[in-house]
Amino acid sequence: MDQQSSQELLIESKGAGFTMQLELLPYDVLRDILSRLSIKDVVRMSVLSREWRQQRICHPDLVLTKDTFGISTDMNTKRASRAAEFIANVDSVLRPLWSTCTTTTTTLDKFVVEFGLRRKNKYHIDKWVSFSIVSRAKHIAFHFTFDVDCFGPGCDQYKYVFPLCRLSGPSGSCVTSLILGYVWLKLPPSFCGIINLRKLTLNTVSISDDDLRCLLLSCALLESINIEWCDSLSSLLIGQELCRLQYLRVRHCELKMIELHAPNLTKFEFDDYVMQTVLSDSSKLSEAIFVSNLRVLDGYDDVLDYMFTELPTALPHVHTLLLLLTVNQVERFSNTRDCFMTLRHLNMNLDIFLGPYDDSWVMGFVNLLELAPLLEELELHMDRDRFCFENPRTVLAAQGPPHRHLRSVYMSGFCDVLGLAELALYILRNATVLQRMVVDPVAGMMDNALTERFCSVRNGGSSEEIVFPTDGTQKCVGKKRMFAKNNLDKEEFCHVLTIL
Amino acid sequence: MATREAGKKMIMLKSPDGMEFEVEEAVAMESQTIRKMIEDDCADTAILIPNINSKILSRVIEYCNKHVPTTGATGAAASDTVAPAALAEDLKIWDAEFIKVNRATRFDLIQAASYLNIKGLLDLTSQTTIDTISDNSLEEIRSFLSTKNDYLPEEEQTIRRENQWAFQ
Repeated sequence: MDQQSSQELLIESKGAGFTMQLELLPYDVLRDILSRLSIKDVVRMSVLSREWRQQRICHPDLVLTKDTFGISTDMNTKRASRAAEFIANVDSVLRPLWSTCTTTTTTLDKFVVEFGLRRKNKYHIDKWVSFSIVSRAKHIAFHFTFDVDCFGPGCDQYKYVFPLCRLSGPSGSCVTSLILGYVWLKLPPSFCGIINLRKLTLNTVSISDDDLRCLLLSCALLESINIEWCDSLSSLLIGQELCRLQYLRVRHCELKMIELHAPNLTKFEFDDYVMQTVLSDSSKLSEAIFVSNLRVLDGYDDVLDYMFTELPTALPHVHTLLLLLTVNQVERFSNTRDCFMTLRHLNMNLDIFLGPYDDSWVMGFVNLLELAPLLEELELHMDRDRFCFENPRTVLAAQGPPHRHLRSVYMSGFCDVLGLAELALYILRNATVLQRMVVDPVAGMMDNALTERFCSVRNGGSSEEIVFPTDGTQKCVGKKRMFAKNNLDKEEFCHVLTIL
Repeated sequence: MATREAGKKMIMLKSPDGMEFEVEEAVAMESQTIRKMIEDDCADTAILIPNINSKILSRVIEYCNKHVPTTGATGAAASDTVAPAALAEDLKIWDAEFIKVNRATRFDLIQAASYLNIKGLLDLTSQTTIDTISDNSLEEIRSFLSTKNDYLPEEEQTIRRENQWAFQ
């Protein structure tokens, strides 16, 4: 065999060998090969020959962004000329794929347009919407939030009016995932749903409460809903059942209330812009993520008290809870009375940027542990770059009742912040079945005011939003470690405690 | 080789030019197409593999033999002795050697990998084609794909101008 192939290679190198005619490959294989190339490479190939161009061989994932075309976004080029360049480039990619102006033989997996386009670009965007439909794309995204310069109701007039009616009924039956950003949606009376839609994302979209309700109800197979920055909404109330819904994320929308009947909901992500949440039918809701947007603001809003006392009632069946809060907010759990009866895993990402000035937050934390009688795993992540005071202080264990289920505790970003060592000592003394406590003074949470990435050692990297704690600057690491050793590293705890 | 222990199920594969290959079931099941046939109980006697000649089929089997998980061959112990990273490195070197074939063979292997649905082999055979396309000039790609440039110079210029961003 070896000898034979080397002979063939020899023949080939002399120019008499075989060649590859890609277009003879089965269509699926050709698509697979093309999908691994960049769009740029595939477009370059259109110059190979007339025959090649006429076959309208196309990249199956048309993801068209500023990076696809290398469009510079510095402030020196005007928005209008950048948009014109982008539009011209998109048209140049699509032009050969249309056999007439209304049909195409191309079939796509993805059609994604991501750029700062506005209603005045309607003529072009309309054509692309048509193209995405006739090319039977499964994943469609029109995301115009890039370089948004205008927020609020006054900006509706600039938003492209996305023709949802085009996806209604049989014509949009290929679409399983739809992402819309910075557009305006108005449901026509005849709208009968996007038949096979599984995933919907709306970002900075203007839509009324009623239209959103109709949209969600009419798409019978919806499994995943993500709504963010939609400031035209006031509430999300749906009386009828959303029986397929598994994942719901509502972020940065000031809603008075969310009330859904979603018996199969398993994961829910929300924040403190939502005043009240009622998901009473969601008995499978096992994982929840709650982020406090207000944590980055100096002032404190009394509204939050209500939010914190309501959390257990809003999430009665939750197994896993991730919270991103400040220490001041943790203190509010002192007033919470309802219990997280089913909570097994708690992950607290704690912003200690502003404070604390005393250790009173620890009582809130101890109360929170008491409210979760079945808790088995606790993660507490803090800012990794916190500095350390020069003068060591005396640490006394916080007071509280015993905890009978807590087995594992992981603290990253450990430092001498008031209350933290007190909390660790309380757990070491009172968690009767504790098997392991890891105290990490090196790695921790990044300053996440903007990225809002959660730290987790349990499922770090499981999604874009969840990461492992990372090493910060080596500032005070030695001192922090010494502080942990002096206060926690006692004979009686040596079988459970690890200080990294 | 002590792989042919008692109880190891063998499968007969037949190429259209009449050659027969006896392979372990686990090896044959690297192909999702054959796996499906076996699971649907369509593999009692010999499986005829259409469109793939004996020369290509033997190479495909060679690939599957190498890539079948080692745990399947000699019980659970095999992977314990060699570190997974070293094993992966070894496979990579082997793959690089395996794919040193002429274009016609590679083309046949792509088709075979596609028909038999062997993802690893399809990735391997496609990747060389992809590398050729992204690393070479249009002239070189034309010769590689045996495509004849039938554009008039001005036509080609127009297309280049329209898609200027792709030629920068």
